[in-house]
Amino acid sequence: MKHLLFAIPAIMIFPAFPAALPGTGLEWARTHAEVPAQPLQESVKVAFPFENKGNDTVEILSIHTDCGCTGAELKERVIAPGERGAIEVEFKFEERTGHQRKVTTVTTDAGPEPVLLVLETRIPEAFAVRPQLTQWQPGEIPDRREIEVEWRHELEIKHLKIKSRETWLATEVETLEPGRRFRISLIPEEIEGQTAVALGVEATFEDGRTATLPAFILVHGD
Amino acid sequence: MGKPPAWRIHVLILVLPVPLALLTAALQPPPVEIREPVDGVVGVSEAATWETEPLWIDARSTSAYQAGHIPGATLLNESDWSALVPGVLRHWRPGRPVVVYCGDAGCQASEAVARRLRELGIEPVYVLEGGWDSWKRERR
Repeated sequence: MKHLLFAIPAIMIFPAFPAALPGTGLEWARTHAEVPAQPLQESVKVAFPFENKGNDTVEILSIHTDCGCTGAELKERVIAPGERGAIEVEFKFEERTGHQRKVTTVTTDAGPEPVLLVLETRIPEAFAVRPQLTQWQPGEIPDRREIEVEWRHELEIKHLKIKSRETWLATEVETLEPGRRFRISLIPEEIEGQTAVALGVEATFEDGRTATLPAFILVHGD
Repeated sequence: MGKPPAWRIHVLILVLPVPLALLTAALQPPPVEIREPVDGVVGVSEAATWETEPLWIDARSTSAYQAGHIPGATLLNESDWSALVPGVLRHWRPGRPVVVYCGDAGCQASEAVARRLRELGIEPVYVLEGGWDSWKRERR
């Protein structure tokens, strides 16, 4: 019974100390970060702090990211006992949307097991373009079609324009709800063969920022 | 006429809704069969048996694609989404299956690209199990 009484506080205290991950010699404050992203945000930067709680110097041998869109920075590669540091991971969104998971792999001279630093986020669309793809089916005479642009956040869209180099496709922009909803009419001329293009729907917001989303057009060949 | 006893009123309250409930039940549409969603993953050997040659989509980086890819595969990654999607659409026709792959079993890019192709309205879209590594192993 006495043993049990000693064991209970030990069990309670144990999880309060983050364990040094296998083979690294470093103790990480966290290896997983879930960060929110706002509309129009272009990137996120997250620090993964660590501390060398061992008695030996630890050298970080390699830092590998699983995507060209992710960069990792470290000030000091050699970490003395008791020294603290952090690996800063920056994820540039580029044209990504939705849930994203980026993994940075860290190896040290303390052991063969790498540490995986995971950054997760959900990137909201800058604004909604519906439908994202307008198609004219095989044999169909290309008639006038419409797409809608909608924005439901604080800032208003001051100006919306279509960027296109397609001479066979005329476009018209109409405001349905000022600053919030727009209709784009697509008026194609007759064309031959299968054709696919991306129009750039460029929104300029009240604060001067701009965002461009694609509207894809596909005319199927016969 | 005297006031009906309280127990009769209670019985009426209990019995009156029964015909209404039976009528509602009779007018209900037949239950819809709920099926498990298709997980959308396909293996190399299974894709090889398909009647229609799938449209292969390489969701890796441009440099990885240039270093080697499945013959006939088209590059499509999220870094350069707007510029690359038209290249895929030019090769796609309704009904042609699309198979997306990335580097290996642990990569995430193929899932993300497959999701966005489905959002465009393209179907069916599958993810290649094991990715490029699996293709190289099985086609050796």
